[in-house]
Amino acid sequence: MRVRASTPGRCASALLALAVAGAAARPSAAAELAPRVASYAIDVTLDADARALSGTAVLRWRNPSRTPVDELYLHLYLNAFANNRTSLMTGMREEAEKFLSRHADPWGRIDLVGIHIGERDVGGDLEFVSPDDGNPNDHTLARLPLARPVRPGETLEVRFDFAARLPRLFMRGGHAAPFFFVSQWFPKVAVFKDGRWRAHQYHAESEFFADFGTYDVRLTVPASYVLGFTGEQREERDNGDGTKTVLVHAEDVHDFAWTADPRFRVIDEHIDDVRVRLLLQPQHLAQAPRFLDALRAAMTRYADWFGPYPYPVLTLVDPGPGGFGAAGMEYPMLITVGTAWWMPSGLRLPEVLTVHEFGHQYWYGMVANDEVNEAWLDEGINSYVEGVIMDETYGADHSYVDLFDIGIGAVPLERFRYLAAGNSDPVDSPSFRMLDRDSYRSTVYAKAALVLRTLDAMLGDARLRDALRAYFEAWRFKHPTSRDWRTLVDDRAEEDLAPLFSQLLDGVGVVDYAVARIDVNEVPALRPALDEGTGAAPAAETPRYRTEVVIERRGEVRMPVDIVVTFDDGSQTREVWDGIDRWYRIDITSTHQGAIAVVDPDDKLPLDVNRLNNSRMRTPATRGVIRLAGRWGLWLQGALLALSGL
Amino acid sequence: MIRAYLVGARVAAQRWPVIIALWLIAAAFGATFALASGTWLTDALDGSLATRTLFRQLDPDVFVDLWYHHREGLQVLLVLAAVLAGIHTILWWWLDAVVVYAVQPVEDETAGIWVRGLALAPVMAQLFVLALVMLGIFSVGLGAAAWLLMRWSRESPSAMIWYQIGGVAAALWVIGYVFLVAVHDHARLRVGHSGQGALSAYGWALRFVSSGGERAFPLACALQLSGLVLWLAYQAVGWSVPMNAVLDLTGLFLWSEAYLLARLWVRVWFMAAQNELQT
Repeated sequence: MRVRASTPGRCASALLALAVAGAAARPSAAAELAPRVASYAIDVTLDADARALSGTAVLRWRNPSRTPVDELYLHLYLNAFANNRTSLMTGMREEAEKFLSRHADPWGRIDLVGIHIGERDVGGDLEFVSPDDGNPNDHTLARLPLARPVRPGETLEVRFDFAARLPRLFMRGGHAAPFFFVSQWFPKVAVFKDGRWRAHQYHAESEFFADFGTYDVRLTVPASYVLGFTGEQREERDNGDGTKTVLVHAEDVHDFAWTADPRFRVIDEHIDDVRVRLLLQPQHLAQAPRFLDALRAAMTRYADWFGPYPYPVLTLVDPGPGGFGAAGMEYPMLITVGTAWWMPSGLRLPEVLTVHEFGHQYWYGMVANDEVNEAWLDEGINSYVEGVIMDETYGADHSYVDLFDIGIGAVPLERFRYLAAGNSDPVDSPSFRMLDRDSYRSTVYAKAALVLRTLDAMLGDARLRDALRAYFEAWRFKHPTSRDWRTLVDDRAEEDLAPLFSQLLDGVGVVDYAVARIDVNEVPALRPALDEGTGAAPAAETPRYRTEVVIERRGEVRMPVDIVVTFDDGSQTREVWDGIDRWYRIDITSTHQGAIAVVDPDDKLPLDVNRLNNSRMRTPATRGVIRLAGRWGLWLQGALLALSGL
Repeated sequence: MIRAYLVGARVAAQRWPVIIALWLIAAAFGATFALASGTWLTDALDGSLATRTLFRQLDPDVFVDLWYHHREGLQVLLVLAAVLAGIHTILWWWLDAVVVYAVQPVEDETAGIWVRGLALAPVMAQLFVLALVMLGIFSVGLGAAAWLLMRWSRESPSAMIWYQIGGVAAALWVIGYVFLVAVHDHARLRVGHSGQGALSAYGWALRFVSSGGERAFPLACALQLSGLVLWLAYQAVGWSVPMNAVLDLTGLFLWSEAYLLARLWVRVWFMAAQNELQT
């Protein structure tokens, strides 16, 4: 990024007028839902041919703390695409190099042409910083020292004149012209919390953190382009020069993203009181009902379980060809979904993306945790709720995949994703410090979701859902931390969950309980017979059997587990083991022989890394093996015949 | 062409003992792999409830655990499958020759064709390699052309262009595959008739099929379509069988083996029909 002298004559007054116009155009100003700390008035023009943006942003930042602030931290995340050695590109490893080698000009950047506080040009004071990794090639974070500290409660106004170039769409934002997805595109102030700035560079394994505010954005684009954006449209004007200008207003949000593509087909729907705009690529129009049905299912359940969606509009964006890097992302009041022309109905990618990204309107959009340092708080909770909604809506055995006789629900998918990445990092740790992207995705999405599923099953009676509702109500439009979540859930559960949280969220130990053995021995007759002295023959005894079951804890995590022993007459006995020692023995003497022992019979521990060893039959069945092995034999036979027919 | 198609079916029906023998050989390979799979599964499932539940439901959780905890065993199974494929391929150099002799109009003793087939096996091996190379060149060439076109249209604003390129490439591959298989079959038959070497027989067959001789390619298409219809019929029944009792499983296995037997009958039918064109 370069900092240049400001353009004479450009001032904030027009943008302030824009902000005022945006506010005035509102039919009725709703009550403030969030503390409005960082508000923006932005006027931007898209040059579609040059894939470039130019404009001015006026930031009104209110010091929310009790201490004076003498510097600002600004995220300039488009600079993550400025060269191949930025922290994002380095984190993407081979994936980035492969992408960069494929495109002649994939680069993107943002230049702050001028920075003004009042009439004073302070652009020269800006310095790039890399607190996370010291990377000198990364200009995604900048520090702006202030000549005069901002007092608590005081509002600072800063005007940025900027010129930006959008990268070839690779990760989240950019262009696959004529599809443009414009995210993390303006100088965005970091969060000042608890007396210090929470500011981070743009990493491959992390997302974002910002303060709430209002956005009044004037977008000027080629007239043929269809637009989607955070917020509501207030005004549209044809400029008569082949361009149009759209005025957008959004309240109580902490980011602003927008998209433009002349090919979008717009489907306007209402779900309850929310206007839903589905921007689909033409070849995907037939799949509109899939997106809308999934959204309806998600909105209904979220409203029932946690509270209503409070914004008037929600826009769903289907990225254009070559733009799938933008798919599956969340922004306030706007989510990106995605599909393919051939997508069979049994592969529920459109549905999953819709349910997941809508969930982020709650976990990220409203409950705005720090996604860089505690990503599991939104991704984990959201993945858990997504799985529950998918299972309820489409059937637990085939909610994600339902093709031929292959059905995959949420739990096996989450377990696969969890086990695939090797369990390298604790759930509650900064994303960018995790081993790699696979570990990040496995940990903050899959493992965190499994932790919550486990907790849900342990607590029972929807107590976790109640706790999540309480968490949502207590922390919406605020910035909770992991500690806040733990405290609240602990209180609501009325149990001391701290040891469990410590094991599951702070450690990398695994859960693995196993039935080590089930043995049955006939109890020998009592010798010598008690009545030997009398010379009478001992009375005939009904044969009795001693069933011995040994359960082992093979993982590091200690949790209470249920154990069920089934006898040959079908009767059962159930015990609960606290799961602390390395092993636990059950001894039962009965007239019946133990047949099957099962640990965690109700599948309360989806985190268990090996569920095959959760049960043991004294006499194993063979029919399951025969079915599978026979089928594989037939497959091979068929394949070999095909080969010979070549 | 229609005559050849019908004569082929009749000849194949007459040669049922050969077909039964071929099926038994194929079944031996399937049984070997099933036995190995069963042994591995028994060990991996280790007396768990999955040994019972897999009968009714292919629980994906079981497969997640098999993949994660018993991957080495799974890899050994894949190696075994590759070894079996190698043996089967080598065996079929001989069996191909047997089929070629079996479909000749001159009646031959069944035992005789098995012995005579052995002598022809080396040429069949050469033909197989030749056919494999040809199919490889064709597939790689077509794939490269499709990839270049997709790369060229990467910045296209229409997503459908990729699907169109992919669709056309797939259709061309199927056509090319049927063509090359027909050439291979005719080359095998030519070797049986004339005693030519692999290269000259393949060259002759290439000319024969590509020049439209006796409508060889349409016949090949008709035969492949017949095979496809058979497969669809098999699948239609296979999918509709519920898995509630051991009898269902037995029925499904028998139905699958019946299908594989029918496939071998179709294989002999292909050769007999194509032989009819040459004679």
